[in-house]
Amino acid sequence: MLDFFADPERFIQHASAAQWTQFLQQARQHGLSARFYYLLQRKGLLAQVPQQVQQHGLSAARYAEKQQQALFSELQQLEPLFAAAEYPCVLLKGAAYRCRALPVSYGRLFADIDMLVPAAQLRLTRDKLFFYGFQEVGLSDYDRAYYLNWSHQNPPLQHYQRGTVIDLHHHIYPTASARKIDISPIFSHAEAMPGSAFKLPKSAHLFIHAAVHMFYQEETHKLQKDLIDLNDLLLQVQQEQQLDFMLQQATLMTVQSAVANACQILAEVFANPAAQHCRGSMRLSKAQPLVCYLLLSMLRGDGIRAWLAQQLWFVRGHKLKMRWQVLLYHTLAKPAAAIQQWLRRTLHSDIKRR
Amino acid sequence: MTDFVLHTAPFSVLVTNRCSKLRSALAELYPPSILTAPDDSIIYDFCLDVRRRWAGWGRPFHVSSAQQHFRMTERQQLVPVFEWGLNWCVASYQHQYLAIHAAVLERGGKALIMPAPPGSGKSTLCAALMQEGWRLLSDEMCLVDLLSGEIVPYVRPLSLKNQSLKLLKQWYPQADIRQITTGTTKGTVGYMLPGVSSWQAYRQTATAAWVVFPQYNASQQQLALTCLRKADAFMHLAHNSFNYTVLSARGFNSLSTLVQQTDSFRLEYADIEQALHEINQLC
Repeated sequence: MLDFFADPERFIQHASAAQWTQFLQQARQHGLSARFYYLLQRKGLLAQVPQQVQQHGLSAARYAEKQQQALFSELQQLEPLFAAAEYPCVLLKGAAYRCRALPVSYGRLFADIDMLVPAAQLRLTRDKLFFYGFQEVGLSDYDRAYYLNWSHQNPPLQHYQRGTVIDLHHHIYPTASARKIDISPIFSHAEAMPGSAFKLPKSAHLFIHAAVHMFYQEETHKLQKDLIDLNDLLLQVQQEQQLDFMLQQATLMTVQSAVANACQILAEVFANPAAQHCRGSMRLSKAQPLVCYLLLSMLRGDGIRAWLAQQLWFVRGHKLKMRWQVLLYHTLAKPAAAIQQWLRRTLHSDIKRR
Repeated sequence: MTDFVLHTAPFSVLVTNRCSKLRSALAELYPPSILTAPDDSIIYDFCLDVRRRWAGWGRPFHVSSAQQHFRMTERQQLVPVFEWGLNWCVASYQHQYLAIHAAVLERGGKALIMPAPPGSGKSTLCAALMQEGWRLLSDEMCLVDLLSGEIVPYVRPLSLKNQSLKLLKQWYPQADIRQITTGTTKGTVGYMLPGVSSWQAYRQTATAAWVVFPQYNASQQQLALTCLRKADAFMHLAHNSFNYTVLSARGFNSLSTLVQQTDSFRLEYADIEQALHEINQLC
């Protein structure tokens, strides 16, 4: 999959039927079917791929198109709420990419709408969203407390009819972490979306957020998609001539290592020219070799190596996300809460039977 | 490994599998031209993975596609779960067509579309019509080509459940019904083989001519065939579509054309012979 996104022309020239079968599978697995379709279209390569591949890409592109229409319809519903608010609401990730019509958003699927509001207004925004039909659903008491105390967002809010999910953030990184990231530049540089109350981060900040998400957390299930996002975002930053600004912001926000690692991996996997440029810059610290090795092992390694890397990544991500006291408590309390809940359920059904 | 392929159209599937039972069971349902060994020179639309894995105390079969888990099953129910798994793949990734939950049959190049929710007797009526000489395009999914408006066949064994199985055996003792599985989540399930003409013309499209919304109702004294207004037919079809909302304007245009070119009816019946007679008169 990464080979295709790194060099589609080359992939098309050499792909066998068996490789295309596998390609279609993997594209579905990683939610990249519409992405590959738009990439081929943009590069004028559609006619060169087999008809069947085109058809599946087209099917996915239609789904993605519908999802993007749905995003705007949701934002329109929420417009009055934020128009009346006296604090900024910044869209993040997929919603922001789409509203800025960045190439990374073409055919990109997303599961929820991410928003960032100042920490002091989180509760107020959540309460207001309730009267727009959004509420928290299906969380255990422990998980809810975890979200509120240690994470960087409110528990997901789902619309009671439409099923749309909003991830309401007050930060881009868990507050339980020992690492303190200053996100005030995201707010201060955010630009207004014409005709709307929502604000949109600069491309440099979108890239930094994506890099933080990949390198300071433990999640690995969307690794390929996240990496392709990063690649497109960095090219965008370069195109907008914000590379130096981005490096300066990374220093200011103390997320240099995430950006350095991202550039290292992008240069290696996609030969991304912007990443190569940044890697040579005096402003950027050196990438962490072990971290990059683990990531590449998960991407390219097979069997045991990838599995081991994944386990280490999981432990490392948790360690970064939580101070050691919190991590220790979480490691013990989470299973304890699950057992307690199971016991309560069993006893309850026992009593009911009698 | 006993990998095999189903060369159904418009979607083919490559099955990765370690148990020869599934392949031999499916060989009873699909002709040898459709069920073959994999060929490296062909691109397959979907891949289904069927293999035993540890889960709890047992080692049931896991049916999955592209790392997405569909369902677990014991060996006895492998065939229906496989068929449902394949439907699940297709239902999620077919937006190159307007897909309607409906049975489709053809006679003289013209297609009869019977959309209906489960429990309305759609499959029973479809099976009976097939036994009366109609060519089966699909008992489950009506695929409308968005450019030409033609109905694209997706021929598969016709799935029958519970009471419907008994009735069809009673009405058509010569009908070939195989792989009957009891105790599934949908009760007893069996598969009626499509006629030879269905498999022979498995890629041949048909032009939509009639839309009939069937409703089996045991207490119905007299068969009732009501002509539907175009607007109502449109809304009912949209309601029965898997992806009308996904296709937005394309879906609207395609469905409008379909409704314009067809006559639509609602058919409430208790007696199958009356229903067959009425449909034969109508079409």
